[in-house]
Amino acid sequence: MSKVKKDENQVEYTGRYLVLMPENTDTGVSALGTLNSISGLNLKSSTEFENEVFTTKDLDSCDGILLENIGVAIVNKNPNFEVGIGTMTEDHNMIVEKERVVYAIDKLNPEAKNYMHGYRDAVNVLSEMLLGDAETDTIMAEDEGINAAAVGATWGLKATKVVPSSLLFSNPYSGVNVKVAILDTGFDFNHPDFVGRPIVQRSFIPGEATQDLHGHGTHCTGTACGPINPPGNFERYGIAHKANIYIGKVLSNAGSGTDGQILAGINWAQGQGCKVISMSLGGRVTGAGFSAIYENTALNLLNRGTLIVAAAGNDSNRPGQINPVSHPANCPSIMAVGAVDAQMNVARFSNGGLFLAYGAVDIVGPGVGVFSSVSTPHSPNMGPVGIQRGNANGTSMAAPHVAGIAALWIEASSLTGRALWSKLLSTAKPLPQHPTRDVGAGLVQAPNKRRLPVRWPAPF
Amino acid sequence: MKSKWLILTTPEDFSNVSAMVSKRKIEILNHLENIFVIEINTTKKKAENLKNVQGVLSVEEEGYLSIQ
Repeated sequence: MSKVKKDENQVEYTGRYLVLMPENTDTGVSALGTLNSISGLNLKSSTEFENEVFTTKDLDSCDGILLENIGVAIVNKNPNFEVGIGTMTEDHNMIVEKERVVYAIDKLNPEAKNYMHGYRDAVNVLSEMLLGDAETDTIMAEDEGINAAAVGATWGLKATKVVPSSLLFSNPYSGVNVKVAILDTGFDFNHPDFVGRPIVQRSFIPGEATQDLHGHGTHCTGTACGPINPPGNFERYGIAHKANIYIGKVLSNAGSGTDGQILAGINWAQGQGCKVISMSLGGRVTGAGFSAIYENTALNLLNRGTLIVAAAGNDSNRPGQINPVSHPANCPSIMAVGAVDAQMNVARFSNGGLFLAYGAVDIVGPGVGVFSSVSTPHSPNMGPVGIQRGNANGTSMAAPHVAGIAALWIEASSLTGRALWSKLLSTAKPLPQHPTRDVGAGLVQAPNKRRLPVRWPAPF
Repeated sequence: MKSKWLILTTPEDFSNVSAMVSKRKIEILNHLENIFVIEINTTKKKAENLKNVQGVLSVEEEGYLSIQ
């Protein structure tokens, strides 16, 4: 067994080396022969061991072992090998690194965990490059859990991959040039997190300015379009941080409005060219069917490239009572958004898709303990007097997650309307532990890009 | 007793329906021209009679909605 050594950064090495074969090397006998010929060593192939499982004792019994499937050799410390490293890297395009000592993730501190995730991911990418599977297009990030690498963001932004959990992925999208309408109780135009942000506004509530005196609209706007770096020591809560914001006040400062006011808001948003309309509002359904007016409107808008997203409603009291998706989210052409919590449980209050022909929950978003901006002054329901940011619960909080992510997908893919609808559903993270009735296609996910691999220089 | 109603029209009949509603001396509150909806203030009987007008797709009484 090689002796463990630490370098000046306290990184521990085994004394062995890892050799990554170049991309065009055939695996199998030729790779082993090539490596043995170049290094002057007598390496064994992993295929010589039953099920390709070997021990350190096996390793110590020879000069090293070539892992055939990934084209990586583990080489024991050997003066002859070390002399030939220059030739191997410069003339034969091999990558040679010292083998590190790796500990179980749970025993590491968070910073070290992040490093180890990055190291693992980098090895994965190198392996995939050799196997020809590496991707650089816009893709969905792998599921790495929500707390792996992402820091300084709400749980909802991590769970939806707005802030990727893996260091291997990035989210370069900001919703730039995408027009997003928030139809709600208005917005706090004096909020410190939105200083300098151009906002188009209009009130459809007679006698009330667009300024939000309730807080609900400001919270929803913050989630969909809030800043990437809120001033002060606050975590990121906004998704489409460069989107063009359109505030339509269709609900009063008491938190209610009429169908006419809401449709007037939709009409305005469509006229402004908004591609996403977020409506964290609804009314309990009392009879069968859905509104033909909202459905026709949403269908027309969808065909013209505008997606309407609406809260599925909060009338349920799970597990005993599940009420149907509210009006107007129950229209087939309006994307109905249910709510889940950080443990991926369906929120107690979130309505369900109880009918086959209409009123489905299409997708879910974070809707419990959602941190975002709050107006000043605001309703007592939005938190203590004076706070400018706080937590809220509701399918109202889930809907703007979908709206903001829809804006990111528009930027990433140029898809709008019906195609955007399909993209959001097809990229959602399935939640098979719950019935489709409650979660639809699953948890909405943001577009991510896989970082281009960076070849680490040989550490000598 | 009057209340607020919403009329959905076909795109091509939006203007004709608006004219027809005015002709029947029904109060028009709003024209939503981008989505082909007309908001009116009238009785249930007069509103329901509009369902038979050429180009009218749906007539619905307004309800109240609230934050979720």
